[in-house]
Amino acid sequence: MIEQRIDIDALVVGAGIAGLQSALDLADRGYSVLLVEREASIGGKMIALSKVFPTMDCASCITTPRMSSAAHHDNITTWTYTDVDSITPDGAAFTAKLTRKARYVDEDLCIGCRLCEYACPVELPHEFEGNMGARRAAYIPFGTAIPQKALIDIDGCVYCGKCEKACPTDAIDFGQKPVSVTVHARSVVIATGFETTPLDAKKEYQGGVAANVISALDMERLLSPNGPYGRVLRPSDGKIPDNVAYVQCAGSRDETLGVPYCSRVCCMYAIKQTMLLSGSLPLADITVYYMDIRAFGKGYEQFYQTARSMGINFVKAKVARIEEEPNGDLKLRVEIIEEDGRVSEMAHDLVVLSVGLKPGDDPRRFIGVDLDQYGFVASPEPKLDATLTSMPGVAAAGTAIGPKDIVDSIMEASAAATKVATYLGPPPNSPQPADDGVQIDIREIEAGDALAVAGHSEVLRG
Amino acid sequence: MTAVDKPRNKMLELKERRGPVSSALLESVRQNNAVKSAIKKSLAGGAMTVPEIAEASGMPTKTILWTVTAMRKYGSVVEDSTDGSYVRYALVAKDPR
Ligand SMILES: Cc1cc2nc3c(=O)[nH]c(=O)nc-3n(C[C@H](O)[C@H](O)[C@H](O)COP(=O)(O)OP(=O)(O)OC[C@H]3O[C@@H](n4cnc5c(N)ncnc54)[C@H](O)[C@@H]3O)c2cc1C
Ligand code: SF4
Ligand code: SF4
Repeated sequence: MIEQRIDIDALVVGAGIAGLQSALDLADRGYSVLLVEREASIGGKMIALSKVFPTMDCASCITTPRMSSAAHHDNITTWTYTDVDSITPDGAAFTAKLTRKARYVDEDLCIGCRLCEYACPVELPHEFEGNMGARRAAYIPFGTAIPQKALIDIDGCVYCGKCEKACPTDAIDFGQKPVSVTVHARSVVIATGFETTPLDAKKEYQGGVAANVISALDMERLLSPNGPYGRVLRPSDGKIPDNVAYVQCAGSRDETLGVPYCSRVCCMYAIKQTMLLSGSLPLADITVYYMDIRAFGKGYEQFYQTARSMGINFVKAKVARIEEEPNGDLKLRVEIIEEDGRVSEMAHDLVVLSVGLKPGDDPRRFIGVDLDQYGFVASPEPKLDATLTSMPGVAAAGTAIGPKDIVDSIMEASAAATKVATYLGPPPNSPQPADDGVQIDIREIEAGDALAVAGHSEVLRG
Repeated sequence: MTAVDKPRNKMLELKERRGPVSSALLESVRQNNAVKSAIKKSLAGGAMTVPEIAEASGMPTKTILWTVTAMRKYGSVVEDSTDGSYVRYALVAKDPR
């Protein structure tokens, strides 16, 4: 393994919308930032969404400019396909060990022409498309990926050499090895995001077994203009669905699944999807089975009422069981709460499970911050200062702290950047402020306690 | 460039280091090629829906849909029309791959 060493002001772990925003805010203030992403593209979950509530902006139209600004910012170094192995305190700073995984493609030579992908004979399920579409062993992650650079999934490679022959710039490099990098960082932002709760968490719903029981994230891809089928079809046989059901809280608010909390965004994303579906499938019946609708933000209640007035059928009910019929249709056993728990059997041809949000990674694998009982990063001041962590010099942002929507993730990311900037003091080469009697003095008060900047009340402290 | 630096040698070196390609992967490549051939054969007579291709080829609808989706992405199949409930797919005159 080859070794490298670099020094930076802030290490941002995770390049979803929260990590991108923290990195941009810090870089705009003149700090040097290393933005590290484990996947082959930046953008996180947001770049996979169709449109976003409550504005109904096209997700990729508003995410790609941020991705591109971060990737091209003079003060940001962006490393995709990079794992964080450890981050340990080292005096007032941190030593981070990272591994840049082998793409088997020289990023400097690759021009993103996809000729390697067209030449490759191996087709595999594409994770970005919820496995409903295909990619090849040599591939560009997706159309709006940044960087637009190929990589080779070496576990899917049959070593035929066709990609090498097809590449016009000799970018394919099977000699590439993982590179181990030691980073000396003065501060850290954890923005490791979320994963959705597993589709098969509730066995009685047949997720992962019945082809037409899909997750809400799969539906985001089906609703995207560049999604796997180019339109909404059901995965068992390509039928254009005409009777779609949503099952709310299918992975949240359930002690037995270890997710007793509300995932906050599922009601709103389901309402959004039903509105988009009624646009792309105007003749379809759409039903949402819910326990409560939590339309928590500004304009969100109106959003819900608009969906109702569009003819979406909201039924206060508990779905007890889903069974698959031989033709792929689904039979739902439903206890209708508004009718004293009367049990009904409802037939649908596609069922979407409104899966919940859980931590995107276990940060304890690489850094000693405290987590809450569900594995999200815990702040010692959850009410007053959500972006603090138990470690001085380390902030957190976005869904790494807990379930939330894009607006809140971005606001928290900016808050985390402000905390880090205060902690770091003026960026190198910045004009010195006139002497107003405020002394900038970064000092550690005691282990596990506070790192304070005298004259500033808001500091990153443990 | 010495003989060792040549890309092909690097690939073979890597293959040697990682061991032989799994038989499951080779089998899935073979299977995928067989499904593609069956789809091409079915569509040679004109545009068809996924259930129609499945019936003609004796293969499951889910497999046909996944493979038609891949063929559409890589440019050998296009949407032709819909019959209300299903999309009809057609072969592209000149297959790019
Ligand atoms: C189906 C669905 C629909 C939604 N629709 C909407 C909507 O319409 N409007 C809205 O406001 N919100 C919506 N949301 C919520 C929205 O997706 C989140 O609020 C937002 O994406 C959170 O961004 P994030 O950066 O915190 O996390 P993520 O997007 O998860 O980004 C985290 C990034 O960190 C990377 N990472 C994780 N661990 C590591 C590591 N150890 N090292 C390096 N990188 C790492 C991940 O690969 C990822 O790229 C929806 C959510 C779902 C599930
Ligand atoms: S060598 Fe591997 S990645 Fe390249 S074309 Fe062949 S199978 Fe695909
Ligand atoms: S590796 Fe070569 S063929 Fe593949 S996208 Fe890059 S430049 Fe094109």
